[in-house]
Amino acid sequence: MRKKVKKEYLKVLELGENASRDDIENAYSYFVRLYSSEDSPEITALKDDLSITERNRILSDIDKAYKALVGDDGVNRFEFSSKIEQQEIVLEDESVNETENNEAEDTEEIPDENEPVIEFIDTVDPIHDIPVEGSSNVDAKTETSDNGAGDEIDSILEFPLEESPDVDNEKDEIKFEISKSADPVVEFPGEVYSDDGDHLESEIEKIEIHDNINEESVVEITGKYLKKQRESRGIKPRELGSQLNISHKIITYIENEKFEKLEDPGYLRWAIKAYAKFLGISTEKCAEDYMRRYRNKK
Amino acid sequence: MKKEIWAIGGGKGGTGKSVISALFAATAAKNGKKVIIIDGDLGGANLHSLLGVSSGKSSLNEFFEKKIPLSETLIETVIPDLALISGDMMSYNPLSVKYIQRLKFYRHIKELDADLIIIDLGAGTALNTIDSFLLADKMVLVTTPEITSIENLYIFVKKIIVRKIKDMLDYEGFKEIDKSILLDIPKGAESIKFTEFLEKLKGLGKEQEKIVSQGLESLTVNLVLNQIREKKYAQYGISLKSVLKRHFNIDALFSGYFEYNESILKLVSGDSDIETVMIDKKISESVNFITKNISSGSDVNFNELK
Repeated sequence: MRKKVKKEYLKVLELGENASRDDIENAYSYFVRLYSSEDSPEITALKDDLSITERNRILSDIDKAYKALVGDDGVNRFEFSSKIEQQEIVLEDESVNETENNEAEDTEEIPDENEPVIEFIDTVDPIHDIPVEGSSNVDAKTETSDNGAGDEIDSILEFPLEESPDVDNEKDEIKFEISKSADPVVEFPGEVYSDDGDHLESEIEKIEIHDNINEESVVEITGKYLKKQRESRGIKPRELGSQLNISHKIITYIENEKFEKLEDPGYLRWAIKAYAKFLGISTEKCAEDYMRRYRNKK
Repeated sequence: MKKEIWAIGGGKGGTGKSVISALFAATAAKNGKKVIIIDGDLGGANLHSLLGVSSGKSSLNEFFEKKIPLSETLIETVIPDLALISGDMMSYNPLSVKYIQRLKFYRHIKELDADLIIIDLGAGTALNTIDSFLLADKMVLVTTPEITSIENLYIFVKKIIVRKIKDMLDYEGFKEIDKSILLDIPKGAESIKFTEFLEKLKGLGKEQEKIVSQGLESLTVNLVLNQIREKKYAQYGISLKSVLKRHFNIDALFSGYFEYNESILKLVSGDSDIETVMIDKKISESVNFITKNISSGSDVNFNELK
């Protein structure tokens, strides 16, 4: 039964049974973009045959499938294929020590295999809430921890931007690759992680606050803040837009908090998270802060 | 082996349906199958020229006018084991083919002695095109990544679904009751809002709802993309598959794509011949990959497009 349910969810994302965690992330962002977009021919060719209501229904189906597969608390509901082991993780030694103490807790966080999936789905926020970005890494860690805690450090990707203040503070990075073939590969710095155990994002945030490293963990994230961060990196809205595959207009609306122009909260949340990922700041906090402002002002 | 009928359609002209049909048929014949290809493009038939047959005899004319059995109208092509049923009807008016005649035509197609029968449907969404499509074991939709081509594909899909459901409702004895909804359909299928249409039909009653669901479940289309100039356009196959499932509620398989290729253009313009084109490595690889996917019901996923 469980297997069957998982298969159905994977089908919604047009994935086969052997899909890895990365495949799920990539397919999810592909379809969110597709169905949110105003300029993909595959959708515009439907003209008004596809109503806004239906679009949202489809987006919500995709969202539900994604959440059911990865869980929105960072715990994966299903086991993924061993392909996940190929996921590349960048690590430095010091973080390993920091997390060793948590080993006992970690074991408690193994998901309950018998937990009914349906129950979880019923609790899904009707707004297109996107789960913890780091959740993919949680899974990756579970798989890779068998190979010995962080002994093999495999540095593979470089942060594409120079002089980024956040990058300097990054201890560990897990790189994301949102790959759309033939598009330039966009590399994102991930949140701070170790590969040792199933740390949830809350753990990481605690560390961040404790070290008082990232100011965004204390300040409220606003459009203005995002703009400031972007400008400090010397990136133009158009450049950022093309990197994230978001219209530069949307970027400007987000920064100037032109909420009346940002109609679809599901898409907005996704866009904010992509933006945050790009800046290398906590996607979850960023989306939460921003969406709160969005809801209050709208 | 079991006989299979493949129909190649997709609505818009110029998307390469005839060339793809010819390549599928010629390759299967080369691989030892007994193949018949039918030029169902009643308006602008051109398969004969692609297959090295000089125009002249019209199989369909002989069948419809002279009442000669379809199996006796086969024309040999340059490829051994590949026979053509020519659709070149010249001044013949395709609209004058009556319903009864069409049914007879479909019956004769099914009775043809071959391992594989490929029907090239040509452009348009006329009723005989839609009906020929629905009679196939494998329904193949060809499109290019251009928006007009995709629009036509969606209209074509709508018409297939509407026609299929109407047939099934008729068969189950709901002919009269559903006239209000099915009136002018599939003629007016372009203008109907698909989701509303489905809701309306399902709203008629439990039984009708069941039939509509069965109709949708019975349809599986195979998508083939053509004239792909950049790899990112190949992903349209996955987008279209998703739209067909999520919006149109039918199953779709993305069977593969053909890259944009000059030698195909040469074939169309008469500057090359099918056997030369088949030697092209990229083309033959694509043909083998796609036909294998269509036969086995497997399809292309994200990973294969990287």
